[in-house]
Order: sequence, then C-alpha cells, then structure tokens
Amino acid sequence: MIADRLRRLAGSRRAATWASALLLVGAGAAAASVFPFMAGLPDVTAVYSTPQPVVGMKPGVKLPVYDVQPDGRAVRSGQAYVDGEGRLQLSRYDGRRESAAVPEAVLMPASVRSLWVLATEAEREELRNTARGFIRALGAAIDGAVNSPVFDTEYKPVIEDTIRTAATAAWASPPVQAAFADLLQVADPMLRQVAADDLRPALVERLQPALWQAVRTNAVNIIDVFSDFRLDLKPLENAVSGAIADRRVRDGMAGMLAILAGTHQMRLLAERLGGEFLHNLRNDPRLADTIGRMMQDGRLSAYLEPLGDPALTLARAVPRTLARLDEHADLNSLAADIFKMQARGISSHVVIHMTAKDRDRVAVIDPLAPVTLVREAR
Amino acid sequence: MTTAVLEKPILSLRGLTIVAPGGTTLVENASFDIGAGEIVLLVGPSGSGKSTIINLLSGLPDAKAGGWRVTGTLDCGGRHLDLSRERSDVGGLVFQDNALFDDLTAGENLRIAADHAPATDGELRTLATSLLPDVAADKPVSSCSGGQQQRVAIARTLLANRPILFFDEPNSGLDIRSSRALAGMVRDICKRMGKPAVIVAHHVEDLLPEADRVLLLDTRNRCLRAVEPSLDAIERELLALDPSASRVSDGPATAEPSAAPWEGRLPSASRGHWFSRYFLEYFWVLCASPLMLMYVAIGGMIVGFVEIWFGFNYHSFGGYLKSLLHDETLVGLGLIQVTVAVPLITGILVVARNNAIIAADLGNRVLSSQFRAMANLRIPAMAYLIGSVLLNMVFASVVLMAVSMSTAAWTSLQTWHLLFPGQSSELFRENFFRVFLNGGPHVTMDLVWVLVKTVTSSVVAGLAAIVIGLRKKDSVVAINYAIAESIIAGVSITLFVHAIVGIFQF
Repeated sequence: MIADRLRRLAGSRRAATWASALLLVGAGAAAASVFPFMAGLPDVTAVYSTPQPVVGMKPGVKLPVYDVQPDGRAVRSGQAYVDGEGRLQLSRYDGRRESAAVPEAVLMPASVRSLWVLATEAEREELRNTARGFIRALGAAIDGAVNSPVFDTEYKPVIEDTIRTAATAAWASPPVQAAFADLLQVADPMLRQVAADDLRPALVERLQPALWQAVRTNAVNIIDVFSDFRLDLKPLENAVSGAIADRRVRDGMAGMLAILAGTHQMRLLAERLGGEFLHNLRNDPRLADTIGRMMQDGRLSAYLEPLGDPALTLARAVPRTLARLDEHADLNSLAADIFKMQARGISSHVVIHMTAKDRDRVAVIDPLAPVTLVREAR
Repeated sequence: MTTAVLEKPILSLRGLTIVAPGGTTLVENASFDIGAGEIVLLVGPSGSGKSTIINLLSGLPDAKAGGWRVTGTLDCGGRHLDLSRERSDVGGLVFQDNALFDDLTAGENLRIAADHAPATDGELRTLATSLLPDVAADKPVSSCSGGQQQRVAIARTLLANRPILFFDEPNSGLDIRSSRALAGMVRDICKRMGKPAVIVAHHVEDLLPEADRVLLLDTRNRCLRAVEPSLDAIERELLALDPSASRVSDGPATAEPSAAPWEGRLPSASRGHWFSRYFLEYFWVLCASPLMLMYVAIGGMIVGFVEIWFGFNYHSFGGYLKSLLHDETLVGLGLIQVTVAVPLITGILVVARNNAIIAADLGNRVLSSQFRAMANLRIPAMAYLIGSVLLNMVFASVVLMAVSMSTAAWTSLQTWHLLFPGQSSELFRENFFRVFLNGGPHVTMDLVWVLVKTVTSSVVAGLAAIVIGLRKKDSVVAINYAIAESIIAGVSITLFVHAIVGIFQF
C-alpha cells in the first residue's frame, strides 16, 4: 500500500514540480546564507575613540577585532575601520554593540609583545624558564666551540683577520673619521698629532678582542626577545677607554684624554666605530664562508649538541604558549594576524574585547601597550 | 510507360524518373493521374521504391538526399512543379510506424498538425476527431493501442490538409477485421473530403474492395502500370516480378475502449505556443527536474566538502600552521571553487547527463520517423526541437551552476564550522570570498570567464549531442551507441573548453 502510494507519488508530475521548486528554494536559501553579497556585510555596531592620539593609526586602515574567551583564546569577532577623524567604526559579526562577557574594547599594537602580555602568568613563567635554559645552553655551547683547538687553529685566524680588516676599514670610514675629527676638535689642536700616532694603534689593538666580545654578547642577547633588547656596546666603550689608558698614550696624554673619554664625541666615535665594524663584517664574504664551514664541521657540532634539547623545548614552547598553536589546536586568528603583520613589516594595531580584570592585568605587565577605547554615542 | 489519364485529375504526374544513388533506375518516364476521392493501391516488390515515390511526393527531405536523381513534372491544385528542382509538398503521409510524437498527447499530436497546416476548417477537425471516438485528447500516445495510434496518425495527417493522402503500408500488422475497417475508413475520408489517396501495401486483399485502381511498380520495365484490381491478377504480376513475394498472416485483433468527447479539445495555437511547449518540455528534462537539481546540488556539496576538509586536514604543514595559513588557504579555496572547481565539475555532470538525454531523445525521433513526420506536417523541427535543446543547454548550464555553486559554498561553510567550531561565519565569508569582495575589474573578468567557459562548453557539447542524435538510426542499438558517443564527446569538449579558457583566464 505504502509502496504503491510512493510509486504514484514518484510518478506524479505535480509532485515532481513541487520537489523541484523546493530544491530551488533550498539552493536559494543556501546561497542567501553563505554568499556575502546576499547575506550582507556587517554594519557598524559601535564607534570608539582613543583617549589620546595613537601613533600609526591612519584613516582608512582596517583593524581586526577579537573577543578574549574565558579559556584565554582570542576569537575573531569583527573588524574596525579608522575613519577620517581617527575614530574606530567597529562592526561586530554578531551585530551587537558589545559583548556582555567582554565589554572592554582595548587597542593594542599588533606585535608579539601583545601576545606576551595577553598570555597568562603561568604561560609567561614557563616561557621565561625555557628561554633561560636555552640561553644558558647557548652560551656554554659557544664558549666550548670558541675555546676548542679546532676553532683555535682553523677558524680563529681567519675570523681574526676578518675582524682586523673590518676594524681597519671601520676606522678609515668617513663617518668614523668625522666623529674622530669632532673628538679632536674638542681637544687641544697641539695634541692631534700625538693622538693620531699613539691612540690609533692602541685602539686597534684593543678593539679586536673587544669587538669579538661584543659579537658574542650580542649574539646571545639577540635571542632573548622577551626582554628589552639593546645593542651592547660596553666592550667597545671599554676598549676605547682601555686604549686611552694605554701606557704609550698615558705617558703624554693621560690627563687630556681622560677628560675626553667622558664626552659625547667619544661615545659617538664608539658607536660609529661599532656600527661600521659590524657593517664591514656582514659584507665580508670570508665571514659567511667561515661560519658556513663551521656549521658543517662535525668536530664543532659536538659542542652544539647540548643545545639541541633546550632549543627544541623553546621551539615548542613559543608557539604553544604565545600563539596557542599545536597539532590539535583551534584557530587562533589573533596570533596568526600578528605573525603575518610582523612578517610583512606592517605596523598596525588590533582591537581586543576583554574583561576589565584582564585589561588591568595587561596594563600591569606593560603599562604602555593597552589603550582602552572610549565608546561614543551614535 | 503511362497509366490511367483522367479528365479532371487532382494530381497529374508526368515523366517521372527516379535514379537511386547507386545508379539504379527505379522508374523511368512514368506518368499517372489521380482524380478526386479516388483510392489507388500502389503495389510492387519489396525494395522496389514504392515508399520512395510517396516520400518524394510528400516532400520529405531524405527522398532527394544522398544522391537520388529525380526528374518529371507535377501538377496539383493549380500548381506546376518541376521535380528536378522543386520539392513537392502535395502529399500528407501516414507513416508505416505512425511516427507519432510520443512526448505529446493524442490531442497535441492533432493540434500541432492543424496549427502548422495552411488552413483547417471545422469540418476537417470534426472529420479527424471522428476517427478517435475511443481516444481521450489528453491520453499519451504511448498509452494508445496499435489501432488507436494508427488512427491518431491518420487524423493528424488529415489535419495537415494536403491535396492528396499517402499511406505507407497502413495495414501492416493488422488483422483482417481491422484492415478492412481501415480500408473503409480511408474510403469514407476520401469520399467526405473529396481527396484522393494512394496506399502503398503488400497485403492488398483487405484493401482491394475499396480501391478504385491498382498501380504496379514494374521493376523489370521500370515503369508504373495499371493492373486489374483483383487479388489473383496482382499476385500473378508480383510473382512474375519477384518470386520471393508471399503473403503474411495478420496480427491479433485490437480491442478498443469506449469513446471520449473531443469537442473543443483542438483549439488553435500559435507557433510561439508550440515553441514554448517544446522549450518547457526540454527545460524540465534538461534543467528543472528534481533528479537533475539533486544531481548537481549533491555534486556541488561534494566539491564544497572535499575542498575544505582535505584542504585543511591534509596540507603538508600539519596542525601547527593551521592558524597561520587559515586565511590565505580559505582565500585560495574560495577562488578555486568559484572560478574552476564548481564550473568544471558542474559542467561535466550537466553535459554527461544532458548529452545522453539529447542523443537518446533525438535518436528515438530519428528511428521512429518523427523528424520525417514533422517535415511532412510542416512543423519546424529545427526551431522547435534543436532550438529548444540548445537554449536549454545554455539556460541549464547557468541555472545549474548557480545551484551547484550555492550548495558547494554552503557545504564549505558547514565543513569549516566542523573544523573550527565557535568561529563566526563572517570570518569564513571575509576570507572565502575575499577576492570577490575586494572588487575591481579582474573580478568581473573572472566571472565573465566562468560564464564564457560554462556556456561555451554547454553549447558545443549540446551541438555534438544533436549531431550524434540526428544521425541515421537503424536500431535501438544505434541509439545506445549514440548515447555513449555523445557522453564521451560532451565530456571531452567540456574538459577541453575549460582547459583552453582557463589558460586565457589565468
């Protein structure tokens, strides 16, 4: 009976017409629910302004908007458009003016540091410990390699020669000479010849190990991105001071140069000398070639072996703690957008909705990072 | 080689010579006249060319195609035709297999003939419908019995309102009673309409009582000559020409149901009506049937699912870079889906199915002489059938691609929600359609290219199916081969067109 009815229904042209009409309506509904030109773009749901001007926020720029979830994840929740008056026209995907759970709209720079301050204290502590372990291992590995007989006999002479050449060229470079001329201008012109004859060999002699020390120190520091990185020129300053204190110089010029060592011109000379030196090093093909050979030298790699585990631990910890990335992780648009903007060299901002408690916590970690946005009446 | 000459003939044929493509002369310098209301039996051995003569006089295109040479003159209804140059359209032909339009009802078969006839009066319609007291106007011809189908075919030919009626072996397969009833019916029609009829037949004994004259196509002397209207004389003449000639027994009788009213069931309609009739018929089968819609909708859903599921789960970077690559992956998948994947998959699905349907439909019409019947009834088959098919191929390609595109995008969104629960659909839309949301001339061009390859592949593939379907068919097996051939041709054309357009597009 039922089979007969179904057969009759299947053979009915009217039933078929209705079925086609329903299918077409279904396809239309599917299109309306997914195509943006049919579903419509989100309207502006709220307008925000910043309490004070924010550097880098240009009119016409679009900023991504996120909601911080209770579990700490940041979920993309809309986009904001910087209008001609510097206000943020914000469009939430859910069409609401604000989220009741995360009512505070905070403007933050699109940088890894924002991920750092948004991470929980436990996550940050884990990352600090991991980074410290890696830096310790790195220092030990570099020390071991640099003090090894292999390095001493095969690589050190080349590197030293490279450094010597770079230092000589740095000294002769116009910026350094200009800085040196400035230095001399503040000294007694009578002492120029003495300074040129005695100071230069003493300075070059000391700069060589000092620059090497500077390279090592900065190589280690540069990895520690989570602290305030600054180029450490202390060894160079010490070298310059040491040269000035050299016996050959000291005999005739101690008094005069001791005064000069504390001047702005002396610091400028040290900075320029360091900058030119590093520039020359980078452009010397022998250095790259030597480092390449060192990397492939099995005898040196033994010294780097202890670095493997801390490096892997750090490599795993950084994406997991800052970007919450792992094999089974959910989408983290905030971390992805920040990484991409950094990789492209784009300096921008993100808008993050969070609780007042979270905002205050972030402000404690980095008082300058979060800018609490003020909602305007529309 | 001349036969009877009447004082006031309806049709007068002079010097008819027909030479077959191989050079064989079927008839040479034959002449005959046919008077009003006269019934003439045309007999002759099988394959002697009887059907060719009536096809020629009915103006069927294939009668003069393929190297046939015809000369002679024809006078009918005040018109003088030189058969070597002009096509005769004086005859209305009832085909041996009836050649009914099986996609139309019995009533529509009659109406389409009447609507394409020079003029039909009420009396003619009454006469035609009086042949069908037992057939409902809305009855599909496939549901009619053999006898009913034959009477529908006769009624349809009557409504074509030609000066002379031709019957090509009308009693083939009929029992004695039905055969005699048919002869009586033809006699009645000729008498009431005052029109003559020429009946080509092998089995003449039941027709002889109603025949006025018998013409024999003499294959030995290549002439038409009158023979005595008696069974013995005819058989003697035929046996003398063709020793293999024999009588075949008749089939079983056909019971006919009670009559149905026909009053007001043959309203006139314009050519636009008939075009839209065929257009809608093909629109339904090629585009709008639920099976077709489900077919492409499911195709789109599979494309949408596969793209997202495998695009995110099986890319070479694993889960670590899922977040980093998410947006750009969606952008790429969206662009590929809209501009390449859905148009190609939908094109293949639509062309494969529709080419099979077109080849089968046209092949069946060729095999059952429907195109010949349309030509005889002056029905513009090219405009009604081929035009409808091509227009619907274009229409179907666009409509079905829109359906497929919708289901593909919707399924992509749902699959994305499965992979990234808790994320807003807007994030998907922003990235999946980013290329199109950004606008610009290249977006318009991308969509134009999609339209170009979709429509082009459908039209060219449809033309291939039409050409394959219209080729001569000798059997159902030939139709089957045509279906397979048209699918292969259509899909190959679709792949080729999409590849070529893709080169220009990107």
